[in-house]
Amino acid sequence: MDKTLLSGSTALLVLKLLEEGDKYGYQMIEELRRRSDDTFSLKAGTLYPLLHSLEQKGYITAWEENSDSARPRRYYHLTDAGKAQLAEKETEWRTYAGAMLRVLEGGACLA
Amino acid sequence: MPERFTVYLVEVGQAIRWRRARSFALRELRTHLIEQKECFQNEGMEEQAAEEAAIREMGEPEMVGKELDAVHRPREQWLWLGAAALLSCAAVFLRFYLTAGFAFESPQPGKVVTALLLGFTAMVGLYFLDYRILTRHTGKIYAAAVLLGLLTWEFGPHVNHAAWYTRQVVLLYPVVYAIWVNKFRGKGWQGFFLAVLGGFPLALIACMAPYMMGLFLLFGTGLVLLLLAAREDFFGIGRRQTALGAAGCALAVAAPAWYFGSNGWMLRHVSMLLHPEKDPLGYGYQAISVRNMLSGAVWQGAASVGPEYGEQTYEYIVPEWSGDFFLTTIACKLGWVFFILTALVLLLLFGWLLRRALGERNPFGRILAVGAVLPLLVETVGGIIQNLGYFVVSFPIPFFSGNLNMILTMALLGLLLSTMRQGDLPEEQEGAPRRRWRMVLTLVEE
Repeated sequence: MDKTLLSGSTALLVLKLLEEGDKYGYQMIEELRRRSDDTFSLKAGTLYPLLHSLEQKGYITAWEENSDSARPRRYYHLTDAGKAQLAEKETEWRTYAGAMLRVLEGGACLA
Repeated sequence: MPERFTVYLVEVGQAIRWRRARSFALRELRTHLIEQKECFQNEGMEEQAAEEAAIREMGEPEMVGKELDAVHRPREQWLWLGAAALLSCAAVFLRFYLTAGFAFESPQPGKVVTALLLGFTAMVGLYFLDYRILTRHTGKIYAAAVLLGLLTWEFGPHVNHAAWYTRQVVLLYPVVYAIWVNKFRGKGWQGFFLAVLGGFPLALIACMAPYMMGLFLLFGTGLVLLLLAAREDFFGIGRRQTALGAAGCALAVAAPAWYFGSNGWMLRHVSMLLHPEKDPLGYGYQAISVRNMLSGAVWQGAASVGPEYGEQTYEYIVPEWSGDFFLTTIACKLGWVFFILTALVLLLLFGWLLRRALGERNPFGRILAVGAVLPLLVETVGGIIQNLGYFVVSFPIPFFSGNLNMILTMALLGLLLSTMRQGDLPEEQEGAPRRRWRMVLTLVEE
């Protein structure tokens, strides 16, 4: 699949995954891959800068699990601001996707 | 860690320009690489192939590093640093200008220049300090603060039965207490009570000084810090429980203090706030002299001295006119416009910085920043009120009340701005493999 199709929606997908519960980076990549039948294959090198950027914007927070100090996992948690952002982006995306589908399927035309 | 991963992470690290962001960013990538490798091995790959595949999945190291670099940049606070520097210079200028001709009150140029230099050095040094390292030395910092208080009390000069240097040390106690409180994060009720108990030795030194204003600042800031801790369930005992515990402890401390204090010192001072005329030549003298002088102040220019003072001039009427009552001096020598302007600048500066401090994302950064700026704001508000003739205890005016006070103010601002500069960095985690990471970082440096 063309990667550019995914690039604009990565933040939305990440926020959506975190809506269901706190997750760490590796878990998110695997979950995304599994739920999209390997369609969305996110590079870790893309995910972490995005996570840190969302954290700076206050949409997510992070906490570290130190049960195995040699391999500390950093879990991400969706904040209230993140939930609001997710709702907004989800609405935007549904509107966009609906319109795209209608055009592709040759449906209603307002012109 | 496999050599291949180290080399990869070193390449990523080289693209991240801010050193302090490296260790945290690389640690997360490292965990990811190890987990990814194990996953590939579970799927049947050989170790070497699994490592190579994990690296491939991560992406080009330079690109990954550049993306992380773009996210992690220090938030420089040049504007605030400049404002603090400018304000300290303006304060020094006013102190010279308004005390000219009064040799005993006028600051000594050599001492002022030294104080300015020390203040700048402290402010800039603390600004660039990685404030997060303070969490590693909590015990030492606390012990040093207590020891310094005791040493200055024992060996420092006592003026009017007060240990002068101890009073200055006490002004740093709110910040020391903030560092102390942070030590007990997530430690439950035991941690909460230890955090509260840590305030007592500091309060005791404030009482020994004696410095009621310092005690009040420590008590007030400590309570605010504990309530802030409650907001985010800092100790892990529940928000409401923390808030109730903090309020209960505050009441348990304040009630007996008020009861015993109300028999003498405190009652006299509070009654003087409302009716200084009851003791015009004793406790009420300062307030009355300030009010009388201000009654002759004009919008712009020097105040006229009332006939009741005969030939006396302002400088001989208002005690402490070149120190804690310098704002009154500004009003009486330059006019109300300059008084209002100075008060507004101080209020806006510390008010805005407190707002920023409360918005800090990093929990330690937040309580440290609040511990640094809240006392400065309270001093400013208290100072303005006392300089209007409503006097209970003497508040120093940040930047204006002497050389040492200026140094302390600038140092506290440096610490505060350091938390803002590094606001996007997470805290150092306990148990993080520092030594091994130093090794990787050393490779990055090379």
